[in-house]
Amino acid sequence: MDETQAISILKKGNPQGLEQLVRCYQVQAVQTAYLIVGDRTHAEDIAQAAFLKAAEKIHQFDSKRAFAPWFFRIVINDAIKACSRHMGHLSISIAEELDVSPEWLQDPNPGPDELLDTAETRRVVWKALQQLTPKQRAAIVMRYFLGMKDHEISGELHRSLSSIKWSLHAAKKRLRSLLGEAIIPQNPGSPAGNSKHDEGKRP
Amino acid sequence: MSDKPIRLILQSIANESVPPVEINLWPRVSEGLMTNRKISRPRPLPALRRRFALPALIMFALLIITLVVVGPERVLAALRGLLGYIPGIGLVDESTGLRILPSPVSLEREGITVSVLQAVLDSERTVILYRADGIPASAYPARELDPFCNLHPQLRLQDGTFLDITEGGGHGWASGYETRLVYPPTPADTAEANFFIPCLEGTSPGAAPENWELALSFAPAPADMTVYPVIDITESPEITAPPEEGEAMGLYLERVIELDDSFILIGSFRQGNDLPGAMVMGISPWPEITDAHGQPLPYEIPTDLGPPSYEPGVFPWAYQIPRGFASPLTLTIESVDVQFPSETTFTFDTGDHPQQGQEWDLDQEFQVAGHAVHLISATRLEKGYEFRFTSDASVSGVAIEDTENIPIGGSGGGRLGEFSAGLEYADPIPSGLLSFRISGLTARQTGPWTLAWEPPQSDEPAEILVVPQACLTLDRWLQAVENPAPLPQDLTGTMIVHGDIGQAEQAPAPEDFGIFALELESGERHILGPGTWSSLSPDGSQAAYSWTDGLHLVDLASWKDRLLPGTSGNDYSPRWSPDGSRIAFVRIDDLNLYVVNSDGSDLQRVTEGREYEQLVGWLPEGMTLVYAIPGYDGMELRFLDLLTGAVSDGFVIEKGKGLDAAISPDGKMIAFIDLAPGHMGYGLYLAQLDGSDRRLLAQLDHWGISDLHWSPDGAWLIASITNTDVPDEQITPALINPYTCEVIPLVGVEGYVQGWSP
Repeated sequence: MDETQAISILKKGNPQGLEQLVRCYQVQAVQTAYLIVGDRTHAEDIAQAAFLKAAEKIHQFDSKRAFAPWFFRIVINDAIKACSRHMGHLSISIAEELDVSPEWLQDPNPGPDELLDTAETRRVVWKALQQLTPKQRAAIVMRYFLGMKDHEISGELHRSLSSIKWSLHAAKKRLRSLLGEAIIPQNPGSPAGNSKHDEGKRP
Repeated sequence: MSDKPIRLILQSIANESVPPVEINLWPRVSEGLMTNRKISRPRPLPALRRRFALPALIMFALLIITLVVVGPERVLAALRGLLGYIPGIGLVDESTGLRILPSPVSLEREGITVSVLQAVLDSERTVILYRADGIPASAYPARELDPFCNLHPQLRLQDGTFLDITEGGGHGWASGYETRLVYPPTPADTAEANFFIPCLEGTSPGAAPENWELALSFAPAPADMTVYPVIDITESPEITAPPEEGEAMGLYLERVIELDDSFILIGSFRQGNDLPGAMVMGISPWPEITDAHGQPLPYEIPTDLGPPSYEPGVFPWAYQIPRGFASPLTLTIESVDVQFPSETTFTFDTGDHPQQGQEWDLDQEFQVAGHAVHLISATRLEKGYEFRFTSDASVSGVAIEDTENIPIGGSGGGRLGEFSAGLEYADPIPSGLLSFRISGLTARQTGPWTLAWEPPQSDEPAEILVVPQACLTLDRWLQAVENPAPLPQDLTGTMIVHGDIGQAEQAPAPEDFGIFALELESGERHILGPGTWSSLSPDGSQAAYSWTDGLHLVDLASWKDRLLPGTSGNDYSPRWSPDGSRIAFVRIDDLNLYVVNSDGSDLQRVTEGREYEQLVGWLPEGMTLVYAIPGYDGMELRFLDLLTGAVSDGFVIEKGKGLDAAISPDGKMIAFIDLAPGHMGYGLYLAQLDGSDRRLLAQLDHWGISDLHWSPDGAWLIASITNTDVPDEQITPALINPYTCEVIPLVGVEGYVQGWSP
């Protein structure tokens, strides 16, 4: 059974469709939630609830669209809410959190293009992620971990395409500065440190 | 920062902390479905913000919630005792008496009114019908990721206990929503309760009044209250039990409710014992209900009837049919999708260093569940492998499993007889000699299965039901595609199309969709680039479209593209004024309509209010904008005089799926999409601008029809026809003569035509 068939039979009331979707997306769902909430048990709870919510809301899903962006919005949303509840940030708007500024759209996207996948890098990236707000983490996870396009992130009505871009740029900017702080002093000869884009941009 | 290194690092972090092999959520999800033990978070109500979801799908949402909260056994037990039906409330058990809310109770705060319209209490359930209206657009989150209220109302009793919902469903419109909530029974000695709404569904935290409390007092139902009897037409009370030995696959009628103006038939499709080892996965397409003459009858799916049961291989249904048809009626299901188990295995050697995009010809033949399946090839994808198959025309797909490595996802698609199936892996992606199993094959089994029913002899309708018939049907369309008529000689001008602008002969990725202009005389195609919501100026010299930084204008002679000053990425649906000097558009920052000169000057907001205005277009005199707002009954058309600001009401496009409408160049007619009677799909209608002389022009069963536009001379309508029978839905624009019903497919124009100018 492929995804289209799974959704089709789920819409017709057959839980086997949900089972197929769980098997397809469970790993990514738990990992996605984990990257945002930082706790595996909590991440599994979020993923489990997201599948149940997806089943409840499957009638709202437009089969002409891709399932993954729709489903992962549920995961992401719940993960952000879980973080926000924990931090008491529920009512803070995205604009307040990110200090949205259109100038970031002009960002020539400098950054550590050639970060090496080492244990140390992972530790530093993980630490840097934790210093982002939940929404910034979500933007990074959607774009880079899930590989979602901006228009996929922005939702069915393209309502928040620009805001998503802003969120992403803000998150990238902050992550870049955090990574710069953390990595560059320890690895002055690293490719990241030699990036011509980074010249003059490091703290 | 390029994507790749960060992606790899995030993937490594995720794999390290959450190893894919350790994830197995299905038992927990399954348990959550059936017992709710693991779910402590509040569940949102289904369907509140979906304005026009298909009732059948709402029924499924109700099923899930019902099963989650009370479990299947209690559902069955409860429903066996239900004897009556109240429209809007559902099934009720009159055996121990009913209690009701004698009159509606309302509360207004900050211009928002919340009303409990109805409450009916029986020994099994407490049903509340409530509505919220007057909610400003500003109360809803502007961005997808912002938090919103998904807490459901509670019924708080005098002794301090509270009841949580077991079912819920409803519909919403621009400024509010109405929903039916089902709670456990209220104790017989409890005459009062508080209906507590922590927050209004879908609103941002703190953006609208919260913690509403409405005091409800219940009283015995008056003796003359209308409760329609539910006639159990089965002999056995165990009708919801699994199929008996030897039961045949087919349609079973179980209950009938006779209303004043309609009948509700309740039953199930049962797999029976005809397919041992296999599983019916769904009914496709929607059933057809016809009268004694074979004419399709309109029907609806009642949203207040919880599904009676869920069992594997049993698909409950309920259809409401207006009285007045020529009996008997016949319910027909043409086909069902059946999944057959399989243990067929195959191997495939990728070699040592497979490259993304690399393709292997496999040319292997299998017999799977009695079908010959041909494995054509394998392709290395970014994260895994995809296999291409062919089979006979009844097979829609196969499920594959890796017998050695654990994938993290799957993919697949195609059409009957030709399909693919793929697996994706976390790094490292396996290579070398790989083993796979075809674990299942899905094939369409054709019936038909029919059920005939004759209403009681006493049914003598005052009016004979007249069902509108479309002149363009699916059969006619298929014939037209099979033998396309030549394009008319006088077909000229330019069309603007949203479709695939990627490289030819490659499957389009989402980012490959964009806008191109098509010159009809030469057939020449000019790609404008990525974008959405395009439209052409009336003289065909310019195009406008929406993109992330605002509205763009393109000169179709020089192909110069410029940003329309003053517009932003949240501006959509540009529509040129008849003289081409101005552009109207929708700005979703504040959900209003704006008008701007085509040079960017004199930007004005021309509507204000809480509704989400959706633009239809301009009248030919150039001073009136036609738009629609989602209202309680559907899309309400409005006419805005730009000189005076006066707004006049038009007709309502009932149950429209969003808005899809186009005004003829002479301003006299409007073409629009609305629900088609007799089908669970939509139809293309033509009417005078005031809604009179409404005529069903096209109805293509369950296929899609959308994106309506007129030819510059008003002689043709163009619509996009979507084949929904194939997983990768195919779109073909169609020229439809609104007067003769002649139809000509524009084969080869792959995309949605969004405008046509001379």
